[in-house]
Amino acid sequence: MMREGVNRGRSGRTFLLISLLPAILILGGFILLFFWGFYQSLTDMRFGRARVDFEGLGNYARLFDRGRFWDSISTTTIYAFTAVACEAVLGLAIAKLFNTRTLLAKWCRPVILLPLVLPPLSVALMWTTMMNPETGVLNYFLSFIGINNFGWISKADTAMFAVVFIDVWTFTPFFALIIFAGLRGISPEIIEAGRMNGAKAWGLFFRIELPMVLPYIILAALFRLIDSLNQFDIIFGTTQGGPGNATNVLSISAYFTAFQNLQFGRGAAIMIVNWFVVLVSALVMVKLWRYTRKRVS
Amino acid sequence: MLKGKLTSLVLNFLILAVVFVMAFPIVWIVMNSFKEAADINAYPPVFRFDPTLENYKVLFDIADAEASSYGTLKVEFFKPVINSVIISAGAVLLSLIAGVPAGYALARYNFRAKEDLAFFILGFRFAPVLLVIIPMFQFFQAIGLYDSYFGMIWVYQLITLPMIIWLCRSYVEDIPVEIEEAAAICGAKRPQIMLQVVLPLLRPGLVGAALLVFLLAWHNFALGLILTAEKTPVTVALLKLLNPGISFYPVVSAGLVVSMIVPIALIILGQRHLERGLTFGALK
Amino acid sequence: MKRHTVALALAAGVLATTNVLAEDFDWRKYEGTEITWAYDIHPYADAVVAYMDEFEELTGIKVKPELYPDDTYWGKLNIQLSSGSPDWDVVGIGVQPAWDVTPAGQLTPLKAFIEDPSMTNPEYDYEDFFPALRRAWTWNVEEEKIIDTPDGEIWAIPHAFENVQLMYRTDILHRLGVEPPGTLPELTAACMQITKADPSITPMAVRGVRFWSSIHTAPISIARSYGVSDFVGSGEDFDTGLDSADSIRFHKDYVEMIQACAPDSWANDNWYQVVDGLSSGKTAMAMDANMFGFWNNIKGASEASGKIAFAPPVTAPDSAEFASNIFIWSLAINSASEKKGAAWYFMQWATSKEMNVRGATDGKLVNPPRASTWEDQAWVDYAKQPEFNNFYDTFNTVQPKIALLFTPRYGFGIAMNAWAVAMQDMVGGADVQERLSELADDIREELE
Repeated sequence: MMREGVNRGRSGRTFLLISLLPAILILGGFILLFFWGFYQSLTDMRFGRARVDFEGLGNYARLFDRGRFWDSISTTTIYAFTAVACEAVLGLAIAKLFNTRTLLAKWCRPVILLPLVLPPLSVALMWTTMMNPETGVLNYFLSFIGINNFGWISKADTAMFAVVFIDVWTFTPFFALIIFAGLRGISPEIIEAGRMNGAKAWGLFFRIELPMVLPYIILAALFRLIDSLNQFDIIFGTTQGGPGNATNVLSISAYFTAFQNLQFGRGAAIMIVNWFVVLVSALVMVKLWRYTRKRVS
Repeated sequence: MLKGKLTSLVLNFLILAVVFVMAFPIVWIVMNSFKEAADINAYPPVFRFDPTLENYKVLFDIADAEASSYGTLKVEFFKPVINSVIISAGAVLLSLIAGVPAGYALARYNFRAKEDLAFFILGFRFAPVLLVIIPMFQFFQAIGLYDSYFGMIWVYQLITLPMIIWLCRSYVEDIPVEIEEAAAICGAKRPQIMLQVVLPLLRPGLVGAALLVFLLAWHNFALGLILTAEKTPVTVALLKLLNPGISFYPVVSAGLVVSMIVPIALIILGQRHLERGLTFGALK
Repeated sequence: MKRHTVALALAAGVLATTNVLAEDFDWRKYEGTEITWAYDIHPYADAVVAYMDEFEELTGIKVKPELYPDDTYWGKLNIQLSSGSPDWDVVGIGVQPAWDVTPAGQLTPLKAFIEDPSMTNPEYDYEDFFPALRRAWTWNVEEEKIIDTPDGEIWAIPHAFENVQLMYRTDILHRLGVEPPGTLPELTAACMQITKADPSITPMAVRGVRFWSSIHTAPISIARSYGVSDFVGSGEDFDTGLDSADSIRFHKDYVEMIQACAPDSWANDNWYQVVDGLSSGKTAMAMDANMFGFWNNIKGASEASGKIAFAPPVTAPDSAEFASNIFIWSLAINSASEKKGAAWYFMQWATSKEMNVRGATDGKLVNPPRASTWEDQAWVDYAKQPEFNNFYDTFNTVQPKIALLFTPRYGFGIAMNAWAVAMQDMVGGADVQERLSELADDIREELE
């Protein structure tokens, strides 16, 4: 096999090194900074105070001891997994819809990317206005179907739904685009062969198309999960983690602790925990991705 | 036949519904940008109104310096848009240059710790930026990268590079290795194969990936806020429109519309490439 | 016309000063220096930028303004100061944020400048600033702790200040036959009356957002008249005052008021939503910083021009004494600045008597912090114009009682942010007494 051959060769090794080195150098420049950040999470560092004492795992112990911290963990996971699951399903549906031979599908294709053009934090002010329970345009539409004064981001029991809604609106196009590329990549012969064997539309979809685009869905989900578990802009721009603690995800909690309450050491510990949550989720997703990829090929 | 027509009707209707949901908030913002404050505040919401260009005049400092504008403070909205274009495009370009070979290597070579390295690179995508924003600020000040395009492009690699590498790797794995083997038999060397055989096949995928990554870079706020003074990206400039002295919703709407122009232009341009080429998988 | 007179007077004054006291104080001492001034995007910044050319001409010092949006400015300020960067020379700051940064020595003490005749224009007159404002900026730092003492160091110079008042739309209240309320329960009753008379009007707007911004306007002002303090006691007995019987009484009334008065969006309302409601006529009343009412009253500024009137903050039902919290926008010098002399020159110019009057009569620098400005005929005439309604008189009623209603201590934000979250919970239906004792426990845990 050629792969083996090239790998063993000297020039192959050099090429490998040259290919990887720029990327590693560019990113590696930041790695020390992250170690510094981790070290801070082991101290009682505060803004505006010169003294810094090493505390070991004190910040972590204090966090794990508090019910509110565990609430934040569950808020974070509920937010991220709900958002990503909705985006995957809707993204698939939209990709499928816009992959049909329908006239409008071709014309309207660029529109599905529109939500991605606006930075979430800048547009949050507009969402706040649109989602206003009394004067917002969204409730104006809802009033036509008999729903009045829906709370959106203003009430504790609807706030989570509202921020997930914004996440889904913004990032479903991300899925749609990647899945669309996957769908287009399936060769017509395979579909044709399936049809010859008498498969119906739904059968084709579940037995051929879905397994073939699954790696794409999972890759997109991997990136989206990473971002959603870290989501800050959408929530900070609308509810700021409220009302009460209804949408107080880890990133928001870390921001308030570190930059509003100025307890940087403690905030750093929350960020490290958040990072760990993402790390574990990402590891699982990557495993899943490798697995589905192998199955497809 | 009737069933086919019905299906088509339903599909078109569904597409229209999707288009409405996706486009409405944006259309609404565009409408608001042409409204006066009173129309924006109206309830029930106003869909027909006398459009005004006043908000755009304020945005580009050509309005009368009266109560409706920002007084003598310059808004200077054009510059941040340019900054964002330079930083985001520069970041994507650098990521492509460094990321495509890396993605290729991760797809085609087998070496010890390959998966670990790939995951390590991905790890930068979710490294907590707020955790390092202070040392990063100090570091940038110390080596003179504070408030520079180069520094911003470098730090944006945290957003763009891991994703380019991973998407690129995935695309390369989709290209049948036999094509490269054929080229190798004809006597082509690795770098040649990569540039002349693989890259053209990758191009459509890369256009899509670059587009996505550009948009994510465009979204960033925190890095620009902390690491720049004059080379601020448009996300920071948009928040600068919230002046307590005036009714700013109309002007913010206009700012959002202006900030959309570049991404929308890119989507329309990129779309054509996506259309033409997302079929490389068919070679399998 | 008036503006020109002031400008001329200033020019003349400056000339006279430079001639007579050239040996002692020289405006051109730092000629050729370039400094950076960081500030919030705000009409207060505009008030200074408008005359920046004059300062550069007068001193030969070049000032580069670096302006950031509200909220995010504070994050950037923290990082700039705590990292010891010399980039920013003069910074805009408020007293509460300064409690957090002075203990580590991030601001330059100013007494030495003020008392040095070669550094400070003899006409500057620091004593002219309202006593409450000067007092709020005076404390000592010992072993990284704030020691609050009237003859301590001076950390910043007031530029302009926000003063909490009740503001109302005269047209709406008149139409609905509602009198401006004096106590918190009266306010609640007035709201119900408004809702009954015209359900399309939101009776009252106050900030409800999830951090201290929403506490430092209405709640702290009203709470004080109920006898509530953020902290009580001293030394060993130092404790939070938020679970006292008075506090429970206040919160019950306040929560009831929010539920009866405020829009459903209360928990998301920051100053811009509050101001927007008042200026668009969606809301009848608001309790927030008085200059928002002033700015919207300026001719042509909004459709509310001339329709917003002012009253002191509402009080506890059994208390005739109102309290009004302040937020003092001030200028300070970064202790890492390498151009402190030039920085101080810029500051004393920007906060001089003349600039104060000019900024105020331009309709930007409201409320001006100098007593002399409030006696200056140009400002009195301007502020008494009919479109400002009773702005001038109400200010004079409130002014003797203005005070910074928080306890000066490091870690101000921790307790106040937690308070804001608890308030959202209580308005959302949590039991007031229980939630307050939970809040008090949280705060106690942070007190070391």
